[in-house]
Amino acid sequence: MAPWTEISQPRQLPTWLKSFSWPFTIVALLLLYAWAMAGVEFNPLLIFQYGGKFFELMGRMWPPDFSPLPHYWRPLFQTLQMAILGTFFGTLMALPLVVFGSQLVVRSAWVYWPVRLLMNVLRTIPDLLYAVLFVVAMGFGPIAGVGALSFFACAIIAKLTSESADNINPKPIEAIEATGANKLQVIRYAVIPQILPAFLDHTLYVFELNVRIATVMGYVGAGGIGAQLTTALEWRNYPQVMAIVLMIFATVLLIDLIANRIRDALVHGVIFPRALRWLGLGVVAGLILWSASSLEVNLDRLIAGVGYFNNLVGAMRDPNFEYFELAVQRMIQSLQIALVGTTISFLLSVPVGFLAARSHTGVPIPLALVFKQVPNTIRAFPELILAIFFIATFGPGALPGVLAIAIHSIGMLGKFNAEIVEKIRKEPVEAIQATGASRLQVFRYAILPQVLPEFLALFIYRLEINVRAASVLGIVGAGGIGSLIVEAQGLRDWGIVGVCLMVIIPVVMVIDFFSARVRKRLIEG
Amino acid sequence: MKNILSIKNLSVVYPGVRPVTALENVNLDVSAGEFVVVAGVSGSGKSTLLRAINRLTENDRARVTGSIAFEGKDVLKASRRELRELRSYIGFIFQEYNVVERLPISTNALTGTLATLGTWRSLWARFPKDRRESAHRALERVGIPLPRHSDRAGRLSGGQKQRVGIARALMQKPRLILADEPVASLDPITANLVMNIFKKINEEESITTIINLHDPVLTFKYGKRIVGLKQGRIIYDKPIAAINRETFEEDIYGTVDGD
Repeated sequence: MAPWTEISQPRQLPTWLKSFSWPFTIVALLLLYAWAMAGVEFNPLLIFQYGGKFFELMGRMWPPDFSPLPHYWRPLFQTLQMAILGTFFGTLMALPLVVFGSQLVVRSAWVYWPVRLLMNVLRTIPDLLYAVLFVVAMGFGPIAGVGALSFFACAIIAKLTSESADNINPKPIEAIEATGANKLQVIRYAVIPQILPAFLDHTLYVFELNVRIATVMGYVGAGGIGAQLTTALEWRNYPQVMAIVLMIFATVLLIDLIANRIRDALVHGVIFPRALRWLGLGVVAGLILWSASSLEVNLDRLIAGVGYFNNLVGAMRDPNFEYFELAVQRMIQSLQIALVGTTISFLLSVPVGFLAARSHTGVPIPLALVFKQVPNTIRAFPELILAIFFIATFGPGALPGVLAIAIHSIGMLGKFNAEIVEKIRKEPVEAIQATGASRLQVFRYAILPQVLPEFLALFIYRLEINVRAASVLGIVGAGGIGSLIVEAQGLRDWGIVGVCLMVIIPVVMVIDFFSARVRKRLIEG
Repeated sequence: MKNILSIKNLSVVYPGVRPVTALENVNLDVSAGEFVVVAGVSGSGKSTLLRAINRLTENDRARVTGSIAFEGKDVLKASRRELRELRSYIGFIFQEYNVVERLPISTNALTGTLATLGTWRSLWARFPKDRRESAHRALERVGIPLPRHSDRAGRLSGGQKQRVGIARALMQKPRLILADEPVASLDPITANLVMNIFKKINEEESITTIINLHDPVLTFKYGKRIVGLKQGRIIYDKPIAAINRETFEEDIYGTVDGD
């Protein structure tokens, strides 16, 4: 026996355990998926059997009826105004959180840990749940929508920007400190220049999200075009439903297009000329003023809003514990919906990612450009609208939720998978080619090892997002804990909503925590 | 002596709005067992020359004309399958090491044997035992101690990554080694250690070796035959003993003092 096989290798499982770990993992995964699929009543046969109905439904929606169009413009503008104001207030609220949650600025752990905890709690509450809460506190109407979108925007901007702030280069900070500058000067000259592009990028990203969410907020009574959509659905006026959906789709696509242009320029460090910056600032200020005046947002109402918030907290102060067990059961179903939906989406988006990548894979560039548009198009359909369509096809239950998540997530997963494939290093690919390996071998040894950990990290990240989504899909009837929230809203029993929050917040926080750790290990190896 | 490599009228053009001619009418014969250093400044065409020999220039969409005969077979006319076979006989070493950082060191070395491993087996990384053992031997030979072989390649320093790159080439049992600026990213001491590995391989197994170097010190220390490239043309091709170092340096690198 050669000597090198006998030297012990540290940091590894014992061999007997190692030989078990693979089969064990596979069996565990199979059991997990069997459990989740049973929980959401996922049945491929059912999909084939009733899938035809989906197209039949689409047929009944065609041609779309645009005759009430004049009545749709106002709610559509209202939707945009809600998104603009929500993003604006969210940004204002996020700034102090970012500053006091950063170790760069505040050196005392007594300050930044509580701020970070608050940031994490805010982020656990899903978008539509904010909407339900604000409708409870402030009554029906777009003001409730603005409130909900502000909190949602604040949570994401604060989180993403603090992450960027943690990753900035500390060397310029030292250099400015070494010149004898004070704390504010250091922030102004070493911190802000480094995080400003990321901050603007996150803000625009959140604006894109807010536009999507604002289009469906009307479903729970928080203003915008979603109210018209709900009415048309209730009357089963499918041609009108299609008209509204197409309008939403076009709006979201347009906003994405503009925002993406600007974000690309920001990320690539394009320096905008001075005049253009002032113009941009002017346009943004104008949009905010237009939205505020049109939605009649003023200082009095903002102050009154704080009072409303008190009412809400008061209403939920004594949670209705009779519903605790039911809430846990429904939450588990939400987790199952998220797991099955994300997995299907992942399986569909891996090929999309490779086909849409413009390098290394040998896909002709025109074809790649076509496939690049697939995720962008899918992303423009909000999950809830997909869920509504699938409910109309399969009836209420968990399955429509699974399918809505599976389809909608292709948008992000396909896009990012393609980016992962595009940014792999080409040197190892050449090295393996140079050994005379076949195309498949080059893929297996040079491409796959580079992309796989990133694919998995992305999958887990999307799972994290989808757990939130799955906990509100029930609001439209697609299973999970959201169904309990609408029931509570119908009964006007805010104690049940309190219990739901008590279940959702810790579960989402725990998932976020483990997801972050697993992703870190995957990426850093 | 028999020529292992015979290059005739080789020209390489990178197309684009302004096409760049990287090599023009290059002729070069290398006989088995030689140790050739290709000298020249950045942009003189050294990399293009080596990359053309195993057709990596295809990755850069370069237009290659002329002929390159490796062991009598024309590389430029080879089919995909023949090209893969030719490549498996030629070990290529890169300036940036080009190891797959997420794979274990031993697997990186084993990738040198992919051309002769069935597709199905290679999908599951089922490398035969004798290959795994010879990978350990190759890695130890280039100075990577056994306890590290299961580490990820990303954890290694630059010099160690280059050793893995050499081990991968050795696993191919190459008849020709092409090394493109293998030590340009390394400190002088490590650079000498790595150059010594090439020298030893050439002397012990008489594997024909062609190395690109831009550093005149290393060129004269290790080269046995020196080919000087300037602006895509060969302007020198002599055994080391026949070269006047001073005029050579002036011709190849220009005035070193800068005045």
